[in-house]
Amino acid sequence: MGPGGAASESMSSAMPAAKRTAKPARRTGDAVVRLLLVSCAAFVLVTTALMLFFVGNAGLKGIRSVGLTSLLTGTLWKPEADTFGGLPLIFGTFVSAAGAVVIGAAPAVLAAVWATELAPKPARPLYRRTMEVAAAVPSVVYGWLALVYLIPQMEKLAHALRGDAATGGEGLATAAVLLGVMIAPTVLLLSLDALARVPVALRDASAALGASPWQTAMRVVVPHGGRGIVVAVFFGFARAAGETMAVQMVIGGARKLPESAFSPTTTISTQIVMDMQNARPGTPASNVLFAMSLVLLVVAVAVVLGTRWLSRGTRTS
Amino acid sequence: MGFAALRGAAEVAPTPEESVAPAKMRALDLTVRYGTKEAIKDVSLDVRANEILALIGPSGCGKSTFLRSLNRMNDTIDGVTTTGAVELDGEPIYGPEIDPVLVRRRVGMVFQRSNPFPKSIFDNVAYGLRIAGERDRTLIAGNVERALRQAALWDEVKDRLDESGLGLSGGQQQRLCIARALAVEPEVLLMDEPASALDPIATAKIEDLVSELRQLLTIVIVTHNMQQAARVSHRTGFFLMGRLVEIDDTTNVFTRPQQSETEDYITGRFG
Repeated sequence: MGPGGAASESMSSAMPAAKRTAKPARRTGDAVVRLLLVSCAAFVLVTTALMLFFVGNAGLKGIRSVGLTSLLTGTLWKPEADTFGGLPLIFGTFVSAAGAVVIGAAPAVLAAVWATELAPKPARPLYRRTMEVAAAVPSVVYGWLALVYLIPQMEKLAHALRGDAATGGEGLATAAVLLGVMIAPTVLLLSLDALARVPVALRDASAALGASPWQTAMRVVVPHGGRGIVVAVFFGFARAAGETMAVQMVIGGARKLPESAFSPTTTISTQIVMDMQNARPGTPASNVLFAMSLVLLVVAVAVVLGTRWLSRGTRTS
Repeated sequence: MGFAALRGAAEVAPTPEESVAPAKMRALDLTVRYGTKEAIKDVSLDVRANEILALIGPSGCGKSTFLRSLNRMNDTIDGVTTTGAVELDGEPIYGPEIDPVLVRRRVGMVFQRSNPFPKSIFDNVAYGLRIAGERDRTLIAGNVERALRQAALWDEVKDRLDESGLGLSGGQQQRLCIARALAVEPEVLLMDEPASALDPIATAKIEDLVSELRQLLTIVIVTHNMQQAARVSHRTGFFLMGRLVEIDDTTNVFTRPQQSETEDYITGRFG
């Protein structure tokens, strides 16, 4: 502790000895509260550690039983034949999430620029509240809406683009559109925070040089808030990659690589849900699902570390 | 208008001490409110061409608010209403048909705390030219060098124009901000306590610079430092509680003020 600690110490030693020992009851209370808080902190830490241990342990068993290469690059996923080629799952996860970033995150960032820099000032808080509500809607609601309204439209689009009457509305593109809509509010809210952190002094400097609000936004505010925006997009990607319920409702559940953007396919999280009933603990089928969970976990860790790395030194102003 | 033209004008026109120069800017019954609170009340004053006008007064007297009203920077603050008129070369700068962006290209500003962009030294100075649509690289480079020379910064930074403006010292950063403002060749430069965050040596450099720049343009400088006002300005205006109490040649204001409030302030009885 710094000089402050030393000062309080000298102050307490200056007090009469009787006063320092006068309140045993409160000190017992302090100890109880401290114990409670430490226990809670430890509990969270231990559960996380156990989770990592079990996923890691079973996941590594799964990787050993299949082989890392065939687990990551095999194209046939057939648990009933003990064949676990994870590429369709991984491909579906990453491509649908990447598509969601293009469809949802990019417009969300631009919308955030509009909302912080150009929107009429009275409308700004209202816009933010609306996006907070949108971000809080449970994913099953999004999935259900997509099932009823999005799938028929995607089917029409697929027919129009590909002239293939056999293509249904469920598939990779539908999942990407749905995920884009789902992550947009989150990305937008995080981007709003990032843009709001840009110092007023920089906006003033730009305005005083004769910049229009739009020029200030694109040349000063966005570059300065750039890291925060990238962090927002990262989180959007991570959320899209981990989303299960809504994706399952629209992606079609085909356990193979998609032939086209509109073909049904699968993702890691949805496939875990599909296969878990038949994966008894301890069997290779179960361990392989843990191995795929490990892949999602690696993505999550990469996002956290990536955002940490990007956020270093942004608190300069 | 280019700098060459301004220089020519400066040589021909009499200096403010010799006779009354024409008004470059003029405020007429200017009142600025934050919500319902009046920050400036019925202020009228002329800023003469190629003079250095200092605005002094205690904290909260409205001098910075007045300064910001001269290039419509108060527009960027929520809840500010401005009534009365401000003219630049006899033309109003407030009104529904006036674009504040164009006003700010003619009336530049330097802020109390240096605020370089987190960009290279070169890009900081080139910023105003680029947003004005200038694409010619040679012309931009020429203007950047000229502005940095005018801001007495060129010799210190010419070998590291690609480095971040944030790597400069405080005084250099403020001169970079002055260069940035000069690059777009404004006709008037507003300076809001430009040296208040600087050490005495850096302050002296800024003051020398202000005196030099008077050859090029008209300067209005807000300062809480009365010695600074006395050193650099031709005329001084004294603000108190949102009103302009007195404005006169700097020598007169500091040696024989007409108002007792001015005298109280400059002799240190309050503020």
